[in-house]
Amino acid sequence: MKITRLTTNFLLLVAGILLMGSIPFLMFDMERQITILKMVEKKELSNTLFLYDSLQFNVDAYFNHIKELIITLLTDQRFEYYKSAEFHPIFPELLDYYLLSMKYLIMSLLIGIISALFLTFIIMLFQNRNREKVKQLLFVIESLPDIFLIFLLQFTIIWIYKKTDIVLFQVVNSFGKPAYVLPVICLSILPAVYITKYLLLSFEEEEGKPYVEMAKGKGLTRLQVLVVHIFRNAIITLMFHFKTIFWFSLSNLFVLEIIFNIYGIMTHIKTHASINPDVVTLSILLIFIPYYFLFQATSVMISRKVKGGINL
Amino acid sequence: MRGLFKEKSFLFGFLFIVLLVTISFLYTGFIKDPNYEPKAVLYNENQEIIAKAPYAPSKDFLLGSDKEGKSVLTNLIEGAKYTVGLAVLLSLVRVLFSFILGYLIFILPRKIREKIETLFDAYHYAPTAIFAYLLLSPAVIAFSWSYDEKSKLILTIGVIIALALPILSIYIMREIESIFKMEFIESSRLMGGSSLHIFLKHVSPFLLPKIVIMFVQQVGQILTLFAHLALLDIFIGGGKQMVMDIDLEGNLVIESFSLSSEWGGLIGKSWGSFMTYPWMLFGPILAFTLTILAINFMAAGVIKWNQNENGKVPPKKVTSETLKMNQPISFNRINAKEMSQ
Repeated sequence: MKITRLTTNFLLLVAGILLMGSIPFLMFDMERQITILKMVEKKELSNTLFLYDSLQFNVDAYFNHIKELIITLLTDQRFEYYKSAEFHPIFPELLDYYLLSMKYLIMSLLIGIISALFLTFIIMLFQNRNREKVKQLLFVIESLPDIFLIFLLQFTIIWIYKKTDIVLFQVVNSFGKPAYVLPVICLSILPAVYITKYLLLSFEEEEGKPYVEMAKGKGLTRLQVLVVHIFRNAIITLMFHFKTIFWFSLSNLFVLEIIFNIYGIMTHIKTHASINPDVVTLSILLIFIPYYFLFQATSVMISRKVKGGINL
Repeated sequence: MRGLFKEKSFLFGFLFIVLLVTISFLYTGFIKDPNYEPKAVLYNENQEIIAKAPYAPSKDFLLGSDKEGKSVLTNLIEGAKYTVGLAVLLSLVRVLFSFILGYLIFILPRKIREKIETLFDAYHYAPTAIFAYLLLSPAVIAFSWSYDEKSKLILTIGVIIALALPILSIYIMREIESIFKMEFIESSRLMGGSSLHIFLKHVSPFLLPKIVIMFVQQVGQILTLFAHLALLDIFIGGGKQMVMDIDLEGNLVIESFSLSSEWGGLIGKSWGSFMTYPWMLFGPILAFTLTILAINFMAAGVIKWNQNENGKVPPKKVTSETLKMNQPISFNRINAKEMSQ
């Protein structure tokens, strides 16, 4: 029963991604445009001033494209994309960019979760009044747009370099030397703040429960109660918010890749998606499929552990 | 409503936005000298060149200047009314449409409703800006020769509105659903209240604050989207193509300039020279940040005010625990924060 439900969910989500990713074919006459572009790039056509096209609503082309996508997905996955007057295969090139991006994303999510846990423990040891102050600070940081934080960090590093000639971290990707430390730090700040906010909420909730009172009554120290008892119960609620955190991090990743000039999946989309919408569809599928299975597996594991089961 | 202005964070954010827009209008209307021509090169008394635009931040140019020699600060002030105004307008349309769509989804049979929810969930696997880029870039960037300025503008505005509809309408649908589950709805129906009566008298008082919160949050979201789209070379203000230089092979070097000094456009045009002239980028990013911060303060104020108002009736504290107990949280659950992303 559960398996069928998960399968329909999965298929519906894939359908959603395909429907979304093919919309350009609904609105624009992509084939014709690419032909023209090819002529321009081969210098067969020197002037495009006489060309005019209006927005269209071509349902046939739209569904045809989705059909083609599904067929190619199920058979040989030989997708192609247009680049400087020629068609190139999308795979396995895309996988390299994808893996690079995921390296940054996973590393910073891990760092984000770990630092959020430490932060939460520390904040939970505070008095109530101070806790409110910290929460307000967290609110302000959380409200800052990612573009600001990332820009500011990079700018500070450059400024320090200009003033003192000390390179704290490699700032941008250049000449084959990838920048790792600074991007990962940048990428983990906002998720860390975000996770801390949720953890605090559930930690404080658990704090008021009878078992905590009981544990305190038995003479356990505050830290013991926190780390051993509250932590185990509170961490599960993080799963409820994980999808939001993931989405949030993806948005940060996009800003990061562009500002730091990292050629990952988002930069690849920026460079090629305007002519090849399939690049976006396939990238989203690459992000979505592993995430979905991991998430479902974890939620099954958790609901087995928790008495009564939780439906995540 | 009066209580709302007593919320410090709301008042603070509100005053900031009002002040910003007022100054922007006053500047364009009265202070700005229409005959002032920006100087790309500055001379001293002996006609020697002392500086070439863009100028670094100094006393005359508080946030530096752009490549034409115009002060970044005045550009930002001029652009404020377009940027904030557009964000407010688009947010209003977004909320209105998603309310209609949300209600339409609500009256569908439960089975179909759940399917639609899952389908729309596909949205969570890429940033909104990427979806916007997917739909806009063929017309605005790749094949821009084929489409005129007007259809580009309509397309951009349409896409920015439409992008939020799936998530927002599902959120509104859930709100309506949860209100209809309350006991007094049943009582009202038993006493002979018509659907319209129930909706206006019993549902809308609960729904309206939620919609107001959503509206304020959406303004912030749209501003963030403007900034993100600028990173992808898409600006709402429309780009004026200008020939800057001719390179060694005789090709024209063309850069796009935003017409209305809309902030996204200001980011876009200073993007290429970020390493050499960082202040050109710093100004617009700072402006975006302060405005988004103000909007978020307003949203926090409205949420707090709404909680206090509701507190007069039965105090209902929504925590993750109550969520867990009352409704199974499905994979597709969208909470308020998520909606605001």
